[in-house]
Amino acid sequence: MAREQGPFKTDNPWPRIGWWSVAGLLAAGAVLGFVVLGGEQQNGPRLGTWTAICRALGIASDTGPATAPQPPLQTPTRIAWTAATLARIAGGDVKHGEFVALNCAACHGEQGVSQSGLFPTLAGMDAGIIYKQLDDFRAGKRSWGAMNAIATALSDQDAADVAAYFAGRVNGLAPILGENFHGGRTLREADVATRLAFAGDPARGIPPCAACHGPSASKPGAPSLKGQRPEYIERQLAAFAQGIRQNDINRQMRTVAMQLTPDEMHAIAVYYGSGAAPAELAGR
Amino acid sequence: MAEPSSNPLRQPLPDGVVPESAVARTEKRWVITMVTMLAIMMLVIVATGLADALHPASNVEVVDPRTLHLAGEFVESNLGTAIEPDGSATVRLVAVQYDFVPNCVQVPVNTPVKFRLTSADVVHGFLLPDTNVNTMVVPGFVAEVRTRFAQTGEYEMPCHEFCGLGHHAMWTRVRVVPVAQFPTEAPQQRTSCAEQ
Ligand code: HEC
Ligand code: HEC
Ligand SMILES: [Cu+2]
Repeated sequence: MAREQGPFKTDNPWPRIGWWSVAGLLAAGAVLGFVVLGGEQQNGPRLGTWTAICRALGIASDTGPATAPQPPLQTPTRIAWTAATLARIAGGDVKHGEFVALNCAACHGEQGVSQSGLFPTLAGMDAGIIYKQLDDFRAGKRSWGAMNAIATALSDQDAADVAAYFAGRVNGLAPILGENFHGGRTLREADVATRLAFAGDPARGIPPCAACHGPSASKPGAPSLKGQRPEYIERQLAAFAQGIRQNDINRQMRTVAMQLTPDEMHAIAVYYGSGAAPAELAGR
Repeated sequence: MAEPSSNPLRQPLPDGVVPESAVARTEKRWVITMVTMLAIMMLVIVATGLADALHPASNVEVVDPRTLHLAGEFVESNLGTAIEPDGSATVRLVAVQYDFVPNCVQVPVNTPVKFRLTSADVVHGFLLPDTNVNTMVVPGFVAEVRTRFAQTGEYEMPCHEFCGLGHHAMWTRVRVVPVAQFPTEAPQQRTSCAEQ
């Protein structure tokens, strides 16, 4: 007896049954996925069929809760790292910046290399960061009497120009990138500063400083610390921890600094600030 | 009898070796087994989806990750737990390398809770062990997860999506506290247990 074979033969019922079962499964899956499960919301009313389907397909958007009443607005800064901001910073004119920088040398040192623990070194700092800090001083988001007055006297273009000038100076901060993570820098490292810089302290939620400040990775807005004045680093850490300085976007530094003990702040400031980092890295 | 063919599949079954009825019976058993397995699996998916609310949050909401801190729902002053007029809690968090902000949140027990999160930089993950809360936090989108905590206690929430060199230090706490600790909050008040 011969068998009629092939998926489209109609005199044998099984291919037809097979096709219908597959179609039925697909339909049942679509109803379950798009309507039954898609419409289910915990702690809320079921969604309507069309809303559920649209949401499952990602073509509907909800913006409801954004209009709820909010506490008084508080922002850390006016700056966001958008393309427009980056373009403004990139438009800095070094020549004019050098002229503006004449007003800074008395405190920040010749060519931005500070000779005092009170003033940060600006030479080699990323232009975007200098620009942001100047805007924060101008907007009162960061406070330091003299700097607030000086920043207010600068125009937005002056700030971009002077930022470009200092960013190009040498003998100040080390470039933020350039070294890779080195072996032997683990959570068991005995030296507290090396441990915090390269491994952090996960139990307390402290990421390695190097993940944002270099030398192995960088983060927009985070300056290089290698070569910065140690006294300045320590003072800024304390200011972040006490909430005196609150101009970091998304609390990135406040969250870290609040976990540090004064001893750790001192150790890490000496470690980065004394320039020990580059020498040590070269040695390993 | 059909024409003999060179294609072995086209040739009649050798009668008497395996009776066709026996083949049909075996095939039927296999079909029943496979369909039952499929049905059980689908049932498990649907049952857990409905009973434990284990299904992807399917709403799409977009936001600009670069300007979260300037305006809108995810500004610093709006993060933390808000008690809605209906008594439910809405918790807003920003995931950022390498922290959730705020880094400790408090919610009332036995109360509907809605987590709303977004990322300011890369993809992070948000997971509360032993609950139905488990979502990716993708920059540019708002992730919304609903849940309800039956017991007071503290949950640790690790970021479970590798997000960079500080990923191992990225975790936060959710503290589930008695309802009495959330007295009549003003609708625009936000609370958290993060150190300020
Ligand atoms: C009177 C002294 C003084 C003068 C002049 C001065 N600064 Fe400053 N500047 C400071 C001090 C002090 C700080 C650190 C403030 C703090 O500790 O928070 C500072 C901080 C800064 C910072 C932040 C650096 C960082 O690492 O975050 C920038 C940028 C800056 N100054 C730019 C300038 C520029 C540009 C000029 C010249 C137009 C200038 N300053 C002139 C005293 C001065
Ligand atoms: C998640 C990234 C991140 C980590 C990790 C991090 N920082 Fe920062 N840090 C920043 C950012 C961003 C800023 C700039 C804040 C601003 O915009 O004013 C900053 C600023 C600072 C400043 C002020 C610098 C200046 O010139 O004013 C110091 C000092 C500092 N961090 C030290 C540390 C130390 C020490 C650690 C490790 C314990 C650390 N940071 C870990 C992101 C980070
Ligand atoms: Cu993460």
